[in-house]
Parts: sequence; structure tokens; C-alpha cells
Amino acid sequence: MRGDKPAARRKRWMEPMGSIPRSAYIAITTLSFACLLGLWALITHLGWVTPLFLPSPASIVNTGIALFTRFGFLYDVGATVYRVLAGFLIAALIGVPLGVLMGTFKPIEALVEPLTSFMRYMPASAFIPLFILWLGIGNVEKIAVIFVGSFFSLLLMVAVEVRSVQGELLEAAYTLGASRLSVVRRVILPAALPGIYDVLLLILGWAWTYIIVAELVAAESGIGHVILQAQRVLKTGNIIFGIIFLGFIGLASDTALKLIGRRLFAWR
Amino acid sequence: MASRRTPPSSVHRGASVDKLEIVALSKVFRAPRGAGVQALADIGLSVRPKEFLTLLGPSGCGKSTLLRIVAGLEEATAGQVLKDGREITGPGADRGMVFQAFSLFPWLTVRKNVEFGSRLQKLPASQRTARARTLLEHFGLARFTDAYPKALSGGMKQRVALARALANDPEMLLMDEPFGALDAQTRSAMQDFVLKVWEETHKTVLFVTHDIDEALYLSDRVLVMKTRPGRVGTMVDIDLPRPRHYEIQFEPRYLELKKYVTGLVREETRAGQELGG
Repeated sequence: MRGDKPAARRKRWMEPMGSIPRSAYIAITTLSFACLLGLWALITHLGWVTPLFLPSPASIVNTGIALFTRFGFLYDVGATVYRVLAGFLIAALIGVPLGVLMGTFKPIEALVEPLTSFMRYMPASAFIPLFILWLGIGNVEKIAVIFVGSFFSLLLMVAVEVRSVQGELLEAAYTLGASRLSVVRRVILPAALPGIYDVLLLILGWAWTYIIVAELVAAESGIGHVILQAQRVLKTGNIIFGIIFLGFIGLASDTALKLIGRRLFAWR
Repeated sequence: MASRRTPPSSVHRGASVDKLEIVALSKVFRAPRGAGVQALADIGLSVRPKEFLTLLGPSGCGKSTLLRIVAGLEEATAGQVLKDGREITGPGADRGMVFQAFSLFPWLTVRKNVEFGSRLQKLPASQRTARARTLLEHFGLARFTDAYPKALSGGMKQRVALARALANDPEMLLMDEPFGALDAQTRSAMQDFVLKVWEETHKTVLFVTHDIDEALYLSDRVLVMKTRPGRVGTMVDIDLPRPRHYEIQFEPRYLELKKYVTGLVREETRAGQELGG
């Protein structure tokens, strides 16, 4: 064997299922955002679209500042966040325990699951007119829409997570002297928890969609309400800022919650 | 479910000297349609107190099913399992089990895995921790007390699983191909480790394996099982001196036993294949 070093393996970027350095990943991501922004700036700068329909990025920033400083946009953001969280939390507080029971015990599955599968296919947005009739256009109606939109899917997905707990872990617990109750509490629940957390994150994303739809249909406050009002008076900038702002809230909360999840479930 | 009638007259409640008595046991796995599969037929077997008994046989001989019935994780279709003269009706802390796939609780640290049983028995925290610490130190796992199972190698995982089972101070230890998922070197180290632990604790052990050397090296007696359905074949006394060291595997008596047992296993495997295996 000769003493020279083996030739360094050439780094390939497009290796199937390969990996790239983290710095490169961040650079490419930044590039994708910059491209979108650049394209938008170019189109508006060259005057290909009238500013009435697509204002420039710079004017959107000004629109945003005005919304917050002069039009009390923060109040609308607060109203929307409140409705989403309230509806989502109620759905989670009932849905998680019930989903765990449904995934654990067959009789409860028989009682709840077929009904839930049926309810899930009724789109939450179709309930909006009904809920307006029943509950008005205030917070209660919005929270009800979020609840209907999240609860049934949440239930089914939590049950799926519970059922994916390895049977052998239950058996190990039984041979260590566990009762049926302690198997649920000390094995099924902790084993399924990370999966349930992921389900909750996903459902929270859906809840954001439902609230905007509900606010677009009828509301007196909220981000959806601001967007609809802007459309009526042709303030395209307000609409676009509202949409982008929703995107940022989603991205920020998702990133934060994923970090928390990683901390909570370090054993994974 | 094993029938709940009183034991047959041949079994005297409490008078038996055997730790475990398996009487006329059979198991049929029911298929949704059709006749089902008979896994075990008319098993009769006695396990003596403090002995190391191994069930040996090719896959499909029902040895794991038998072990799981003893553990209470599976129900016999007919017959009984008596421990100290009492019928077993379900799993319990008196029969600790070690699984092939380790089955550690991944969300608990090594120490909390070992404490799992004592926590269920509501032992005071200080006692619980002391017991776990002693075991972990003894098992060479002191450095990994606060690690999660994902950070451990296969051999370490199985040592934790064994410590977890022993922390309950069970009367019997049931081991279902416990080293089947380990590489050859780790496997042989674990065999020595189990021998050492068994010689210290003298638990009654019921061990399942398809590895002839493993069976000979560890056991007091080896039951070679017949296949399809699983039946009692030949019981072989492993009259090798203890404590045992790996050199024993080159002694004439060991080789003699190995030749004999290998012959029995080959016969059973062939018979099983002719039956359409």
C-alpha cells in the first residue's frame, strides 16, 4: 500500500437522500425568499401591474406600519389569536383524553370512532352559516367553528398515535406488575405523547385557516375582517399585508412550538 | 383462558416441590376463518426451584408461546400452569420477563426504567433509588444512570432490561431469546453476565433460545421441543460443573452433550420441514 492519502471524496450536492452543511441550507433558504421578494419588486418597479392591484414591497411595509399605528391592527390580531387559541384549547382539552381512551379501549372506539369519522367529513366552513344563525357573529360563533374544524380530526389522529404504541412495552409493564390503569397512565400516555404533540401542532395550523374563513364570512373584528374590509374599499395593500402577516404568525409559532417539542421529548 | 377448575388429582396443591408445573397444556391460535393453528399440544413440564431450564427448538416449535403463557401474556386453550401449586391467571411481578427486543421505556432514563416496578409497588423513593443504584453499579451501568435508552448499545440495553426485571426481586425470570438481537461478541459476553447473575441470585430461570451452545452453556436442563405442533421432546440433563467458564465448551463432556442435542434438534427441524414448514 502506498503512503499517500486517499483522494478526498468530492462533495456532491444532489446526492439522493444526501445531506448538505447547515450553513448551505440556510443560504439556499434565504435565496428562495429573496427570489420571491425580488420578483415581486421587479414586477411592481417595471410597472407591469398597476399598484392598485399589486403595490410594491416597500409600500406594503408602509401599509403595515400604518395599520398598526393608525388603524389599531393589533386589536384585530389579538381578537383572531384569542379565538384560535380558545377554540383549539377546548378541542384539545376534550379531544386528547377522549382520543387516548378511544385508541386504548375497543368499546370506546366503537362508541366514538364511526360517529367521529362521519362528522370529520362535514367541512367546518359549511357550519358557519348555521353557527351564525345559532350563535351570532361574535366570539362564540368563531370558537365553535374552530372547535368543529379541529375536534374530530384531532380525536382520530390522537387515537392513531395511541394505537401505534408498541404492544411489547405494555407487556413489559404487565410483567413488572402493572395494572391496566397504570399501563394506560405509565406506558400508553408517555409513549404516545410526542406523537400527540405533533398532531396538536398540525391541528393548530388548520385552526388558523378556519378562523380566517369564519372572519371573512362575518365578523366585527379580526385579521379576516380587516382583509374583507380592505377588499371592499380596494385597499389591496392591506389585504396583502394581512396575508403575509398571517404567514409570519404561523411560521413563528410553528418554529417555537417545534423547539419546545424537541426539548420536551429529548428522549426521542 | 385456562379453565378455572381445581387442579387434577395428580397435582397436590402446595405439596408440589416444583416451582412451576405445566399440565396438559395446549394452545390453538384461532384464525378468523378456518380451524386455526395449533401451536402447542399436550405440554407437561416441571420446573424445579432455582434451576436454569431452557426450551430449545427450531422456530415454530412454540417455545416462545409457551414462555408467554407462563408469563401470563397469552392464554392457554386448555390445560394449566401452576406456580407453587397455584394456577397462573395473568401476568404478575413474581415472574420477571426479558424480551428479545429489550422493550425498555424510551421516555425513561436508565435509572427510572429500573425503578419502574418498585414505583408500581409504591416503594418509598429513597429505597427505590438505592435498589436501582446498587443494581446499576453491579451491572456496570453506573455511568449511564441518567441516560436515555437510545444512547445505549444493544448489550447495555439488555443489561438494563435484566436489571429492571431483577429490581422487582421476582421468583422466576423468563427470558425470551434475550440475546437474539445482539452480535456474536456481545452475545457471548452477555451469556457470561447472565451466568454470573444467576449464580449470585439463583432465581428460577425459564430461558428460550434456538442456539444450542447458548442452551448448553447456561442451563441445568434443556428441553428439546418437537415442532408443529410444539410438543415436549427430550429433556436433557446438562451435568456440567459450575461455575462455568467459556473453556467448558472444549471439554469432552460438553462436546458429547452438544453432539447429542444437535442430533435431537436436527431431527426435529427435519420432521417439521417434512410437515410442510
